[in-house]
Amino acid sequence: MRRLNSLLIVLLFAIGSFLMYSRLTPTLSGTQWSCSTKKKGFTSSSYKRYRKYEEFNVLNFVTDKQLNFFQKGHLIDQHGTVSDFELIYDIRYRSDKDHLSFHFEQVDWNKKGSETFVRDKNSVAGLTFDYIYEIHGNSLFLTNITNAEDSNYVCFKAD
Amino acid sequence: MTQIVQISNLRIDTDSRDISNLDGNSIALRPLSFEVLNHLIKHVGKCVTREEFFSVCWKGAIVSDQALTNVISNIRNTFTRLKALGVEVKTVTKIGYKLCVEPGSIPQIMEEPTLTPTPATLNTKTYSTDQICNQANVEAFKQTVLPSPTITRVKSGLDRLLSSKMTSLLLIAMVVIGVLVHALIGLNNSVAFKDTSSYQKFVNDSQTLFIEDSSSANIASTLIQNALLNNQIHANRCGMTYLLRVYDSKYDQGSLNLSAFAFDKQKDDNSNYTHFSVTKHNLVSVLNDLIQKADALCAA
Repeated sequence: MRRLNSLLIVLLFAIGSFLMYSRLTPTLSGTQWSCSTKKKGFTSSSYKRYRKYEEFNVLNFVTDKQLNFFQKGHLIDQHGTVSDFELIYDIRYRSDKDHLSFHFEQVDWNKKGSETFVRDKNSVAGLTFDYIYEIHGNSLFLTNITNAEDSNYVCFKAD
Repeated sequence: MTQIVQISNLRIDTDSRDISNLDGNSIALRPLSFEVLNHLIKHVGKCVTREEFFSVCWKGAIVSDQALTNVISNIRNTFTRLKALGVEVKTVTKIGYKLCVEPGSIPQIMEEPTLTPTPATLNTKTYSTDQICNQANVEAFKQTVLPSPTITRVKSGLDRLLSSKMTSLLLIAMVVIGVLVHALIGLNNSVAFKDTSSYQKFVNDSQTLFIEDSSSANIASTLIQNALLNNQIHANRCGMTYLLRVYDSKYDQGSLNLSAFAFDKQKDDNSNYTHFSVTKHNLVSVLNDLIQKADALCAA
């Protein structure tokens, strides 16, 4: 009985320690992450006219609530015409353990692309997007709560 | 120093737990019998309750009354076999037991040097009494009888806790709750696409391809495997690792999407790719295109 109880105490301590360790919230405040994204083969009617889309993103977690999301890149249409763009999203974010919630407050354009594209980017203002995140080494993995394929992103630590 | 307790014609060696008589006959008491006898001697002439025996001698472990009855029987039997005179363990009905000794048979403690156990060197202390079974010198006796009562009490408290079935049940319940909590938390919060155990792994020269095809067509693994065998997949110059995910498009029925995440372990860099119209005819060329892009990434 003594051995069993001693073993149970050790087991309980191990589980408790593991739970505490796994539930620690990594701090994002003050970190910067960069992501490079390329998209091709569009099938939707509004994007079919584009051959390729490339963007470079920097997520700058300025405080524990404020995130500056810098994007620049270009769209290349089927005729090879290049349309550059550059913008900054002001985002209020909230991180709770491994949940990350982005509320897009406004879009500041430095350089606008095509009208459809600008409308598309502007449409996220006022919306909130929820993600699950995980930091592994120097990579930030993002996905949404349902692990939907089109919500998967990997960013790399930039600072 | 070995302590010897002398009661009547009996001599109890507290180190070896041997109890002997003047005829030289000796019996080794079992540990529990010795504990119980020792406790009776400490409280000679006074009734010791069953509960007290269980608490002190069994360290609080849950045992049946019969266990104590057996031990008392063993002590009585030992007394009989050694022809003890003027000393007996009496039953106090429904309460417990007490050690009764006749005048002249009162326990004496003698400290005997371990290396020279000769009768001449014994330091003897005698506890006198007028009564047969209700002496007043019990307290003084208690102080000299081993083992140290303070240490025994501390140890028995911890032992009691560790030996309790209730503690076991409580701990098991806590472990189960802990495991359940962990399982529930774990199910809700994981970035699934990061876990390479669900991928098929292919190694091509210095690059590693992890492929997961959840599409209804499920063609990616076979196509890429064949392409690798036929050397149709370009080799990357800087040993990249790719997580490749092929899945059905949500927006365009019949279309396959390919998402790729390229990691440059040497430069600690990565890139995301998405192709929205993958077919069995263009999959290999799409893959080569992204490898080419990744080459640019690692060359930068």
